[in-house]
Amino acid sequence: MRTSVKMTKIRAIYKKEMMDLIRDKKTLILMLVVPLVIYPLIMMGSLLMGSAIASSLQSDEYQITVVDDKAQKGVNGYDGDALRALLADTEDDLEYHLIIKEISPESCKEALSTEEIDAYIEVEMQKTKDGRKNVFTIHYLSSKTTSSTAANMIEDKLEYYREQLSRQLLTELGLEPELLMKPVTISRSDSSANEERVGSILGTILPFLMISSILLGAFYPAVDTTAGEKERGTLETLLTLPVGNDELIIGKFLAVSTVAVASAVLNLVSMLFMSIYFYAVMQSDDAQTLQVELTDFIPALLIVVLCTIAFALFISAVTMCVTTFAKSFKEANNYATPLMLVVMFASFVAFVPNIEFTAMLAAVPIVNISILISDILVFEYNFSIIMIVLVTNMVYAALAILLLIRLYNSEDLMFGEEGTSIQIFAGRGTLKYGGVPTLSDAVLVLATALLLLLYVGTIVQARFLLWGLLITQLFIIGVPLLASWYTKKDMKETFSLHAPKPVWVLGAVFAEIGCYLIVILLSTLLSSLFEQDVQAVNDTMNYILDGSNFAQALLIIALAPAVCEEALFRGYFLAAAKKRLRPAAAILISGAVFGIYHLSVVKFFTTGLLGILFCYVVYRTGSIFLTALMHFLNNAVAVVVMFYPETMEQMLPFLFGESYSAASMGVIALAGSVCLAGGLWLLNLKPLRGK
Amino acid sequence: MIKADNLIKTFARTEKKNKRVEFNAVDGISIEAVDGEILGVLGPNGAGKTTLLRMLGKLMSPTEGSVIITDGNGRELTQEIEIKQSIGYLSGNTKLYKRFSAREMLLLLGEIYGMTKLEAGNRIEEIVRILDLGAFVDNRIERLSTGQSQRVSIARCLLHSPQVYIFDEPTLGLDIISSRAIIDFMKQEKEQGKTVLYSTHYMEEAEFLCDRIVMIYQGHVIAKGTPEELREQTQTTNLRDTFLKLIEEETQGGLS
Repeated sequence: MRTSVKMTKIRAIYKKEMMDLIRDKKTLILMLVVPLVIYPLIMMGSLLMGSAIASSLQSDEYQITVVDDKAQKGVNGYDGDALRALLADTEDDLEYHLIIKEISPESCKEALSTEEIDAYIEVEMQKTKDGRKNVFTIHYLSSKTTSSTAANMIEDKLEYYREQLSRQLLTELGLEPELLMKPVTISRSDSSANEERVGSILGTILPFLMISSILLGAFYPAVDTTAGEKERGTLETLLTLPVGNDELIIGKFLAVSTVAVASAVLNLVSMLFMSIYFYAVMQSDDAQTLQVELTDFIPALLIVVLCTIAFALFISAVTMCVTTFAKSFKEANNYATPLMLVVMFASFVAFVPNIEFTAMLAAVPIVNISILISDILVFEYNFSIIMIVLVTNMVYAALAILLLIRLYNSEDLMFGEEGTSIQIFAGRGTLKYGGVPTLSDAVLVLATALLLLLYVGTIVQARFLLWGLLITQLFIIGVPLLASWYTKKDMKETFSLHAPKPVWVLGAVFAEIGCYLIVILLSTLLSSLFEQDVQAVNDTMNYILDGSNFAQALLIIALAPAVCEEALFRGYFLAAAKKRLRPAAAILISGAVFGIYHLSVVKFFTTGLLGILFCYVVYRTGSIFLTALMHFLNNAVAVVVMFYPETMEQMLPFLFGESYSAASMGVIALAGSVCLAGGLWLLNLKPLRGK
Repeated sequence: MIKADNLIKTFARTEKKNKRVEFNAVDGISIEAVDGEILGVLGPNGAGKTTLLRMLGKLMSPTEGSVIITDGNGRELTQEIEIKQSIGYLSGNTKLYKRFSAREMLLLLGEIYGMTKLEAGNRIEEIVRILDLGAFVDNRIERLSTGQSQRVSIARCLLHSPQVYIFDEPTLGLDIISSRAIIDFMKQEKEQGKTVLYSTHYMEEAEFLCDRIVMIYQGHVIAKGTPEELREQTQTTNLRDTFLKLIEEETQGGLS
């Protein structure tokens, strides 16, 4: 047995990998293209666009008309000529001009619609109970940018005109206008330092760009050194060499991270130049002078560099773990796509405004680096949190490397010749009809459905309440259906669509009643432990049910899950799990997944238990119709209880107990167990007649 | 010397109806090849030759059984690194790093074998002479012909002067000139007291090259001995017929 890892071997492997990588131009291109080409393009583009919009808005002249023949001169000091002079005044330093065009009042409307003029002011005299008053109406087209801009300009000037008139009137009355019009002064002071303001602009976009770019930089070499080695057939050559797996992996990992770190540093340098450029542009523009000293950014930048390097190590290790499962570049791309999505998604967190950077968040990979970069750019750094980010990234990288060393020990992975296990990303034409999904597919389908549930589901539920719940259920069934259609699976096997024996139906009903009783006991016990959790679940339910009727609730809360959730959990997922795993493991895992799906601590146990029972029933009978019935009954009881609590309390008082005496608990437990056992016995009965 | 004792390798395979079936690709094989000997490992496709050779070369670990390898002085090697250091392994799956030239690749591999730059450089010069690689040693491997790159593969095995060679179908798909060069090389190494394990489907080649032959079928050894002994045993005149007859007997024996 070897005891030590030899540096010389690692160095030799590293050298070989580096030379191999550099020989391939794709590595260099991917490493350089984002920092050196894409960034400048994006930055230039946004600068140009910004200035183009600004100049097109500000340097224009706007044609306007004043229609004031219905106005009364002299009322409250109104004077049409004075107004015109003010509007057309070019003495102020504004970069736009209003040009007064005299058009007959009747043709103004038409002139506006043909864009001969951009806007017109109609002045009318109105009688109010306090006397007479001139009313100004600005006519414009909100659909035309120039017209609405002109309207805004006019409004500004009219405000000013009104103020002038007020002053004039007050002075005529012998009063002090300044005192009356502005008894208090309101002003706003932005306390963020100028550095912070620049930083926050960069901080929103920089983490995302940088994380994506490092990922891109690490991705190609990671594939090249793992899946690429398999594809080119050199892996076996490598395994003949006198090096240990640890030395091999560390050498490869160092090579990949060298490229990733180089890509990160290039990114930072490119960013820095862009910032300097921005700084110069802003300095020369005297409209928005920023008192930012570039040197103030240096400590922040140093921290960013350190964290970025740690992150590059982490992302290299993770990418290598993923690509090791692949046997070719194409397959590696398939495996890496979900990884990319996760990483990009997590890096978006920095866009969430005012997110608090807690120690907990600092330990979440990817998210931590994203928030850190964005925080550092607004000069909010807390060294203990930075240490957490640095250390956790290092630890995660180390764990990933350990995992990778284990993967490289697996002969299945090294020599295995079975086809891709994730079929969802394979070309549809290459797949054969029949069979059930692979476990990898099932995990992916489950993850997709859960992500949809989390992100889209919560939004539609908040927006459409009960109907949002139905949409969520459609996602739950839609994803596995789509996946099994795409991968050409045997629908009958995948979704266990076998007709049940009549006696099984009876058994299912009994088992469900028994399980329901046990779940009631369990949830009573758990509720006292997790009160808040129960309260939160109930609140959500009441909110969603608000304003719906019994039939709707029955349809959406009882029937829809009985179909949709069964299809995903007892259909697609269980079919894949029982193919790959031992029966007990398949049933327990599928049940637990169903529990997790309910996103509540108490419900994890109760629905987890139900899930295990349902999985057992489908495993035993091959019929999902039984569990659909059980699921429907289970949820229907809850709906009935919600809508008719009084009737139900009279009929089944034990459903409503806040707490139970030991005796009644014993009775419920006994009744539940008897029903469950009886139900399971019926389910185990051999069919009455042969097949 | 290389010696395998009762080697078993079990693989799991997913068959129809989603059943995981375990089967032994190598099912209790014991073989021994001594210094200065060429041992031929023959058998039809799927007999378990490649798995056997991978286990002998320490690329795979056996499910059961053990492999013993000694250096030129008869000392048993115990550490995996030491063992790999004294094996030259070549198969259809050990491809070359085609982005490098042969010289560059050999230099890098030399470093991994723990040679200094000078040692590796001298050794490469020597190998270039032995295998006559001079014309293409500095060309990128991706531009070499099949025969040329197979000779570079041999050079790779030779680089660290191993005691034991394991060659899985080294002459597959080569023209007469290239395979001649490889066969000559194996003879030379044998004469220098090295151990050569060699599998092939070319029976004529095996017949005149091998000192002894082990015949493998369905993970078992079905016959072993010198080519003459095997011919006598089966009363055939050439190894091709010997091979066919042995397989035939085995198939019928399995049926009865």
